[in-house]
Amino acid sequence: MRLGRPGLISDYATDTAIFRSNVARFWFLVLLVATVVLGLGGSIPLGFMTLSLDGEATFYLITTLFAAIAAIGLNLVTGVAGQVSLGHAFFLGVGGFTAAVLGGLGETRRVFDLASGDFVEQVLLFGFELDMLIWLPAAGLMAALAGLIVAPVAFRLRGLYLAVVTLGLVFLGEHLFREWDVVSGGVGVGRPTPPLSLLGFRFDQPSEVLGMTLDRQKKLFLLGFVLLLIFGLAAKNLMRSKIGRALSAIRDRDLAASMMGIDLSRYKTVAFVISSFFAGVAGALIYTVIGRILPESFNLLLSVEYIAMILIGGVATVSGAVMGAAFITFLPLIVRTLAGFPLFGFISTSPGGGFPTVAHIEEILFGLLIVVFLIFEPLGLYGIWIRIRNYWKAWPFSY
Amino acid sequence: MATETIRVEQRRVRADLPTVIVDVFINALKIFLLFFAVWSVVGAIGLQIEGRLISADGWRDVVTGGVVQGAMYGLVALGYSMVYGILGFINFAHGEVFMVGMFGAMFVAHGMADNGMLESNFFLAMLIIIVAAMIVSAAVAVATEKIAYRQLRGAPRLIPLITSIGVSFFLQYAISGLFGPGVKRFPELPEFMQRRYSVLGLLVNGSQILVIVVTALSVVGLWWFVTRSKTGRAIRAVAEDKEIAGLMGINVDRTVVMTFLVGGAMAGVAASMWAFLYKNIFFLSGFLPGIKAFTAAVLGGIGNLPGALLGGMTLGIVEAAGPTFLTALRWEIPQVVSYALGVLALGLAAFGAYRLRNKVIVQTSTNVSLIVLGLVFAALAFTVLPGFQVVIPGASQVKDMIAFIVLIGVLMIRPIGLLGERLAVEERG
Repeated sequence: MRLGRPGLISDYATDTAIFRSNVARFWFLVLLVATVVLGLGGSIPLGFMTLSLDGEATFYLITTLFAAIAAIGLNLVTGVAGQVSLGHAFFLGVGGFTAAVLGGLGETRRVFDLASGDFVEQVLLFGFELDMLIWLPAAGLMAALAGLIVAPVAFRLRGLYLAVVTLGLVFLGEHLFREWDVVSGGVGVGRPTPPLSLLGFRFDQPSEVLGMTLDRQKKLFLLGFVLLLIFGLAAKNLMRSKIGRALSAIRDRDLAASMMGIDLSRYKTVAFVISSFFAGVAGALIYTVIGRILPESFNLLLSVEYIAMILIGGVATVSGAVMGAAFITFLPLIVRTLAGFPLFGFISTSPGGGFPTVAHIEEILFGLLIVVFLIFEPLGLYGIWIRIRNYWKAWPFSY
Repeated sequence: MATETIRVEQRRVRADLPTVIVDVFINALKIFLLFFAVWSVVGAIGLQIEGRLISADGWRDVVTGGVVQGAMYGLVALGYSMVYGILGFINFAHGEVFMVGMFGAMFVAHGMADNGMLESNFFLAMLIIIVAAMIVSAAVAVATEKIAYRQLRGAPRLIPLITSIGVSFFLQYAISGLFGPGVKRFPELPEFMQRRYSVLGLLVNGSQILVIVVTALSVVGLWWFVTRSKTGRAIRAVAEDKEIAGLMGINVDRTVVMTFLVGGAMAGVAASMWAFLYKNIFFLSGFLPGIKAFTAAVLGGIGNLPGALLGGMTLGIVEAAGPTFLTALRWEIPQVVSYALGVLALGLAAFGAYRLRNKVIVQTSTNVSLIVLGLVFAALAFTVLPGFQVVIPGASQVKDMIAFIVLIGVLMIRPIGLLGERLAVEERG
């Protein structure tokens, strides 16, 4: 016999379990298998329609997987520890550029030196052409280092002041990326990203793996999927551990937490560093998949996109962050699809069209969604899911 | 009666390694900021004496430009400060309220320019433009409050903050959608506004005089409104304590709306002045002024209305003079000065060691940072510093960065701002 509200957690073991119930475990496996089948190019018949991924959707899906890693990272610091960080774009940028410098091609130019009267090599772009085994962790570590440097300034401040300092960080970072052109390639030009080659195995070229021919998209999808699983489980485990509980205590009331013996500065630093590590790895991968990294793309809008991901998806949950990342990443595609329906015929698909073009609707919808979700569903998509689940579990009684 | 000796027990404060490292780091950052600030000021004086910096005309432009810009920042900062004082969140959409006001001012001004009124009866036209901008901005500010923020009155403070960022994107792209993303021009001013006049021995542009006069008038009006009128008293009461104010018979919702209205109107005045001076308007032009005005509000002490104005003026002048002072970093520090600094740093390190040994003060980490930083700085002062110079690339383009450096500096050194914050009871602590 089940007591209390459905889904009520009444003992410690359930509270810290990765999966709260066998149902959750089952659906997680189903989702896992379905995603792998879809990603490998299979299709799932659902009776009334057949689910499959075509070229465009696969690209969005791959971006979602990587963006979800960064969103989980932000969720650790903002959702779990309650420290509002608007500086996530900066850490993404640090990761992206570290990867580009370590893995990318360098560029030099021979210029005439007036002083010596001879031709000298001038560096246009730093590049070390290292393996992915090196640049991927290095991107994360570099971002974590940046987080470590920022954290002391950040944890002296609370709430809004912290948000403002991290906002300042985005602007200082963007300026740094713009001006430091031997690293970033300069405004509007950017630099090409490194090839995705892990010890000679190329993720960005088709090849034969275990008797299956995998093209670039499928390989990238699998890479992202495996990494997301690793990072998601890591985050979930972190939340279950002593650190995670300490962070939640800090979020709920920092004074009370510190009275209970939680070292605020240490745990806030840990949250910042881990979150930046996630962001760094994700930043390296997202821009490597796109193929070009531009210094001006790491602006406030990017930070707010990530904040929106966790707010729309659900604060302080891993699955919420993944849902939010999917939602925000697929938003352009959704708007474009909507524009195809006769009801939304007023949306023009050409960029030079009349007022509501796809781009306009996208930005307006983006702002509107944040506001609407915060007003009506503060727990995000995750909260909607919990409500629907509880409704069906308790049916036909409402409580 | 026997005299009792009171023994003050020496407390041992736990100072583990991470805390000490963090304290050393924070103190290093503070010293770093202060050191470069002093260097740039001294360097500017040194270079000016040698005549290698900028001319007297240059300084005059820096000062007048800074004051005029600062006056506008101050007006916008009032809106941030008032809302923060009452509701305890930063309304990031205030910059967009300002931008919408600029669009309002521009459309009315184009109408005026078309029928010739801007030329024939300039001051009346200007008044109409300002009032139009005030109405547009205030209407948008009130609308955002009623639609978005009121629903979130009881929510944690992060939520209205993020909502305001959402509102700000919504307003930006709605404006871009309605009026196109291109840069619009404010109409040309009549000739007598572009001439230079001598005021107190300074040559000042007519338009700059107008900005100062209008700002002064609106600040006086606001001061009268907040201190003398019934609504103003209600605003102050609500800012002090919402619940008690409600018990005293003040309609809190209406007062909050009034706050947004007044803040929006001030942003409207600033917006028409900004459009008037800088002419170029597009859908993102509210963003940077908004952020900088927010910096000004923090600099002056958020929630504090005179502080907002003072912060605006300070930021305007610092920002105008900043690039000049940054280029002054190329002034080489003379050997005598750097050796003196080295001796001073050694002295501080010795002082820290003395305090640490005698446990005079319980703060171990401060003493450790004194020792560490003193030694490091002394080493630098004796080796690197003599004749060292810094050339910052693109110093003239860092103008927008200065506001953020000021912001981070203020938050690190004195987070309550120059005049201290004035917050509602429930927001304190």
